[in-house]
Amino acid sequence: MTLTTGQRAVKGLSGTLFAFVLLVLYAPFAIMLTLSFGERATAVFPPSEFTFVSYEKLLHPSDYSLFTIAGEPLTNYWPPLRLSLILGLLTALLATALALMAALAFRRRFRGRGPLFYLLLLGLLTPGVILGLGMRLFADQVGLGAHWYTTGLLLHVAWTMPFGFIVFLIFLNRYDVSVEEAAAVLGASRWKVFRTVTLPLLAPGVMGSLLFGFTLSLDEVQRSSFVMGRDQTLPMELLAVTGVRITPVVYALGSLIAVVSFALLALYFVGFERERRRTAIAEPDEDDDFTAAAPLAAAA
Amino acid sequence: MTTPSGYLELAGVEKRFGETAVLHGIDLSIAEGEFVSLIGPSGSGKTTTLRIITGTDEPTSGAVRLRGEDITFVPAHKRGFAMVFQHFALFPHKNVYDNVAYGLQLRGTAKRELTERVTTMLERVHMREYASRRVNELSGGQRQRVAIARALVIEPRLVLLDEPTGALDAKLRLRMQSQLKELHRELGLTFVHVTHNQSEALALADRVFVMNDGRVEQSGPPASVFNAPATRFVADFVGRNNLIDGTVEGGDFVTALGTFALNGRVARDGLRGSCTAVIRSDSLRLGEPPEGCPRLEAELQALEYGGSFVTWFLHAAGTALQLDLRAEESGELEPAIGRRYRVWWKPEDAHYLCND
Repeated sequence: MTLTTGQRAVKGLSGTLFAFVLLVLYAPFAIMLTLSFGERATAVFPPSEFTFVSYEKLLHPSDYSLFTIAGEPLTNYWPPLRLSLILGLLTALLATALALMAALAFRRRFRGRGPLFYLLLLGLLTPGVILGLGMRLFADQVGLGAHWYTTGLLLHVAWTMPFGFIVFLIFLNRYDVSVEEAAAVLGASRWKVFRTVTLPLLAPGVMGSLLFGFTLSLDEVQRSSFVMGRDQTLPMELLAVTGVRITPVVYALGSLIAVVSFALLALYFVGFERERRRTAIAEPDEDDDFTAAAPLAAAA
Repeated sequence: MTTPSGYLELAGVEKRFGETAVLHGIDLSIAEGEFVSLIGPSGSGKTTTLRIITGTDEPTSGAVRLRGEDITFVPAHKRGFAMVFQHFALFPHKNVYDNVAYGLQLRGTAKRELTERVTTMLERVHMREYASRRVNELSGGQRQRVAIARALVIEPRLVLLDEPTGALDAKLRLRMQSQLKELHRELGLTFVHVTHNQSEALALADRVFVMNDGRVEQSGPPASVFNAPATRFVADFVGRNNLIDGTVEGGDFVTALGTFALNGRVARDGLRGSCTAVIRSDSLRLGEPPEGCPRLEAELQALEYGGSFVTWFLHAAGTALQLDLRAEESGELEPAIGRRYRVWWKPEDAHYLCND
């Protein structure tokens, strides 16, 4: 195919732009990963030495002999990391269950459907600081103590649920309800229909919603800063530490988290693609049928 | 009209969505083992009727009875019916075998019996070698056969078919119709079939119910509905009929196309008021008519070649007419679009519908 000069220019420009976007997205990670193998406090790129000492500091936070940089915070990242993982997991499960129920309810027409729809999505647009502050004030009024498992969990679920809701709406949009009717007429109760038809068909959506819930919760600072009480999640801890002094330990931790995230994402996409191919109904190819229906004709 | 003793009965079934009435009191009675077709254009209420029978929808008033037992509000999953959907509605996450086994699994059928019944049914629809295939690897016709097997394997008390061949091409449709007929004969189950395709209903059904605007306009064996339509709507929808509207005045039928002598039929058939003459498209003729036959002039507008027959589409004074001719006969006339032709029919080939 021959392109005009204009088309070639646009093509070249789009390619460059795309490359630039990729660079902006992933270069910081590459730099962080490189710096995590350095020892010096100040970020010199590229690092002059190569060492795993920052990773050792992560693994042995109580071995003070490893911390040789002047003014380096002696931080144990494991408790906040564990808290963040537990909170993320609980958030993902609760938000996904709620989002699925809400999305299934929105398949039907009911009074107040429109306003309720926007109310559900409003949480996405509300500034996080305001949401966090409001939650804290509300909790104080009703005498609910601020902990990760009270106000913290509530807020994380409220924050991530609309994302799951949108994911399910997208999946339900191309969902053929007649398969549920077919199951019901064949003798499946509503619960059976949900268990054997609806849920398996929405499995990719469930995965997507869980992923949203988990990553958004793991990453959350703004709202959390008001509602966690004395509990510290990982991002809150990191923010506190980097306010004092940034050392390569932070880069090491960041790199570990990023690598694990990429691996999880890759796993998800493999699973998602397989699931999609399994459940997608392709348009039948009618041409095939003359050979396929031949035994039928022979038997008739 | 004689109604067969009711196995499935609908009595005064009405359905309203808010202010809009979709069904205005449907009464129908179906015998056990019968093959019944509901036909009508889209929007006539046939699909709503079907959904009320399956229990996926509830009537606003009226009753549904099975063997005399009121099942109006029995949920779909407790009725013991099965349905074949137009777009198959197969479970995309299950393979062919598991799709067919689904209904039996819900009934807790023992493993050995389940395997046997599913395998037998797959053989019956010639899909056994596809048992482990995924549904999205199948062609349209194969999917339809899986859908039929999935419905029939549970030996339902009623089989509902919603446009079962609607998504298939013409050749496949005929093949699927003969297979449905065969399965009905062999299994002796009661079939309720919904379609807008009148030729399919005529080919399959023991009785047809012609629906229009939420009402049953006419019911009976296909041949009687086809040969003696009871209303103008049925005459227009079923078969290939020409409809000429006019009024009976004295001994004549006065229309925009001319005045035709009724020769004593006025008294004999009790014709009066505004009537419609129904003339089958193969009863209209061209050329010089014998003495005493009604005739008119019409302009040829289009031709349709249908194998051994050619259909002439003519137009006269605001009325569309169609006329079937044998291909060689049509060819000899060297038809020219835009030319005027003389059209006639034998008086006894016209069937009059009058509304007083």
